[in-house]
Amino acid sequence: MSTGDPKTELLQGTLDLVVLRTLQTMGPQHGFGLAKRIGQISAGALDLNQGTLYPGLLRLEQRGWIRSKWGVSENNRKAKFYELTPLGQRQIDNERDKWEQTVTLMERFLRRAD
Amino acid sequence: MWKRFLAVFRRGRLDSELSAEVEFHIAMLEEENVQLGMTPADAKAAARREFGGMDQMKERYREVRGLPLLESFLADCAYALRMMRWHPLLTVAITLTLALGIGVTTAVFAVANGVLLRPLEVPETERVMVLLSTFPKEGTAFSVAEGVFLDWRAAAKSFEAMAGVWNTSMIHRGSGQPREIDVHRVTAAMFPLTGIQAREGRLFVTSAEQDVAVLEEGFWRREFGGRPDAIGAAIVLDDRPYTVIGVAPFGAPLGYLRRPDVWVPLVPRAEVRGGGAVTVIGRMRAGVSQTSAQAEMNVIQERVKREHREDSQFGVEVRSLHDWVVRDARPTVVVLMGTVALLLLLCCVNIANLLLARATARQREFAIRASLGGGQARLTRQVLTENLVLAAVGGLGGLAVASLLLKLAPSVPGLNLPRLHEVQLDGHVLAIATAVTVASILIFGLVPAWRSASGWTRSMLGTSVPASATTPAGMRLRRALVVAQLALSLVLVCGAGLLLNSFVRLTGVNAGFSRSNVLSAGVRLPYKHYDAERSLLFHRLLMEEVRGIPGVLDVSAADHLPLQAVRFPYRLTTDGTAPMEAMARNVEPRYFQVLGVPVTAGREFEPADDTRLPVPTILNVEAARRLFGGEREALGRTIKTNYKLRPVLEVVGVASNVRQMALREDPGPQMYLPMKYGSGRYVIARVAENAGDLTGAIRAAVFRLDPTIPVPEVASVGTWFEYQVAKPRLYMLLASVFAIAGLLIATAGLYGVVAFQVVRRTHEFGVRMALGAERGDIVRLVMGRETVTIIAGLALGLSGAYVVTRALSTLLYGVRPSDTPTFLAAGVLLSGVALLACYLPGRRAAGLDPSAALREE
Repeated sequence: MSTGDPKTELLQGTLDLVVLRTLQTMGPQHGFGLAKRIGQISAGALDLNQGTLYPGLLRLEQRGWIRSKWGVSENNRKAKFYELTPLGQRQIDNERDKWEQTVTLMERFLRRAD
Repeated sequence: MWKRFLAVFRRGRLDSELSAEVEFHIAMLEEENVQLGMTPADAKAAARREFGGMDQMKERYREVRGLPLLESFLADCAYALRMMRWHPLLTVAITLTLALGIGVTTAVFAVANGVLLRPLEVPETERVMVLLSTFPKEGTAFSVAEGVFLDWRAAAKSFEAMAGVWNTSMIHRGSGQPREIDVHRVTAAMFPLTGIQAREGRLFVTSAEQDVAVLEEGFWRREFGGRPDAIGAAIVLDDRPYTVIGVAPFGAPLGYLRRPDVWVPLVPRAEVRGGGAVTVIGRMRAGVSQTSAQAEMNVIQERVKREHREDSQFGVEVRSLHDWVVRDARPTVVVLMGTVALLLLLCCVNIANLLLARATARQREFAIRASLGGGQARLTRQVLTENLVLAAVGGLGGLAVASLLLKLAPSVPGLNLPRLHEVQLDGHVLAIATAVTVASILIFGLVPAWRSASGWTRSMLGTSVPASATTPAGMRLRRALVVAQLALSLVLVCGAGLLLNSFVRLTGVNAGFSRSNVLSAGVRLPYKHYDAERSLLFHRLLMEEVRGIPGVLDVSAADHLPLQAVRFPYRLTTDGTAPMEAMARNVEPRYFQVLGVPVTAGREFEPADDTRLPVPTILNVEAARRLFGGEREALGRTIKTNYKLRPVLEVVGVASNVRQMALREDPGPQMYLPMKYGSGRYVIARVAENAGDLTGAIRAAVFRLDPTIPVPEVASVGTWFEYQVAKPRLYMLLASVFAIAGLLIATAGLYGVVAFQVVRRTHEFGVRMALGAERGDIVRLVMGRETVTIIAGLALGLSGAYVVTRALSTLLYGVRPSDTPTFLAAGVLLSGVALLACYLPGRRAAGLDPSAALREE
């Protein structure tokens, strides 16, 4: 259960979007690959410890934004792959719009007075 | 949400999937490390380290995946079931007690619901009333004469429909021997009023139809094999043919109005007045209240009284049909419910005690769990869950007990409550059963749970506190519970004692006649062939036939049998005294000999008496004393009566009192007249001890005289006695069973507490014995501790019993509800049993080897 701490929840929401977007660009991927990729893109800023990754993936799956399937990895191991669902697609678009609105709004306020 | 719920039950599989995923991740990390140049062993170790805390991750994962509350609840349940298996004796004790308490309570409530509370299966029952005639002295009768019914129906505006029912019996001449069947003569409105619809064919519509009949489904199946061609066939009732027009389905009897075999039309005649046999049912118009209907009927009846003298003795009462059907059952059911509630309470208290004992024994276990991070709330939750599981098992057991009891209920002799056959475990009853179960949990579960929770935070591991330690407050609580148990069971024992006392007195009543070795045969003669004279002749012939049967010593006849409670009051006057009412019986000669009733003055009737004038009469002792001051003084005196056919009587004999009415009623003034007129006829015969079963011989005698007469009922005269004793016997047995159960439970509770105490004080006893205490001292020590408990229980119980037993007053005979000897005996019984429960552990303590006791911690 989420702890209800607002900072954690904000972080969680952001993480969800990151994972979804990564799946959108990468295509179906397993947990390890996702973690590596996110680490690369964020240049280490997003420290995705496994304590949050797998539970987070599960939550996304419960919400219907991604689905999972067992498959075989590049080096012939059995792995669980995740891929984006149409619902997830729509979620990305919604969230992107919201982010853009927030950023625009905050820019107006935080712009240094020239 | 739904997925999460399901996930709770798929734990195993989902856990292994997660493990596989994690393994893959770690394997990939390992590979990377190897590529970075580490040795395989180092790579593996580094990979694990990189991955991070696995257990915490899995914990979080599980939290997201399932429903933690539900999962912990299920875990608690599993633990509870294990606990139950580890302590089988305790578990069995608790669940059996619960099952018993809940089962009996549920069964009794089902009976109460089915018999009293549930509305009748009659459309719009709130508006359906029964109109009864009320006599100022005797109270309310049921029925009225046909003419009165017509008047009421014509004038009553508050009622939209009114119907009359005449409950009678007729002789049906079918394929087999002629049989007497129940027939209701009804007006057509009766069917829609009581919600009866035709299953086959149709029902009466107008009162113009006369010789038609509607069959009841059971009768239809028996006589016509359930064939549709019964419609249009003819049946012969009392030698008259009726055409069958329809069949009504099986249905519930409406109390006194049992379901008949056949319905035929009733055509009320306006000229029939005075007493009558028509039961009147009516449905009030919508919006009319019972009070206004009653007011209107009062006015109408006043008019009827003025217009017809014969109808002037009674008033009218408008009573709800439901009330009329269930009223007599109310006291029985209420008493049953009260008793059962006591028993349930007793069971709950007992269970609370048992659980409290177990909780204290588990203190160490709980302390460990608390220290491992359980938290007080969690542990309380667990204890509550354990209680819930116990309650659930007990509740299910209770349902089984209840349905068994309900199945047996209709066959219990004497428990003839109306609608008993309809009683079943329906929705309402199940709801109550669940409520009772939940309430029991709350009553018996919360106290030990709370006590345990607060106890754990105080107890510490590793101290020399023995595992079975308990706080003084805890022991006080247990003792208080035992006092409650003793008190409750004392109330039950007092009640049972009163009922037992009453029963013994009732069966010891001298009914005034000989109950054994006297047979009676009731023969019903059809009106068509037998007028009054022929009827008399038939019976006299039958008497002769029966006299000839081997084994028969003496024969007589009477219009009614003793204890049959049929009342024919006559007003007697004699010179110089005030008028007196006496009940009359018409009898043949030798009546008193056959029944074993002594004639204390004068003589028996002789064959010529029925034509003698003045008409001879035999009074009973009571009548003789009241009218003339004594038995001898009555002989030869003249009496005038208000009996039109026999206005003047001469006393020729005086007989001992016989309880002609009810066993509980003292015999009032009675008079016997020679059989000449009279409605019913029973031939009675005194038979030899070893005569065997003469039923067949008597039936054969009837058959010889007239093969077309229905089979007579042959029974011992004592049957009427049995009939009156059946209910008191039932109450006594039930109460005794409850009382014994209660006593056992209470004593077990007391024994438990004392035994527990003894174990706890073993060390102390060892010290005392080493210091020179005798065995007797130890025993006295143990018992003395509990004296206060027992006295408190006695005091509480006796005062409780004093209050509660008032409810039994209607059921008692010859015993006051606060009868001192009974209460005293109950108190002594309880004290004796309680003292025994204290003595036994004490004796065991005294028998301990002192050195072993000293070694006990």
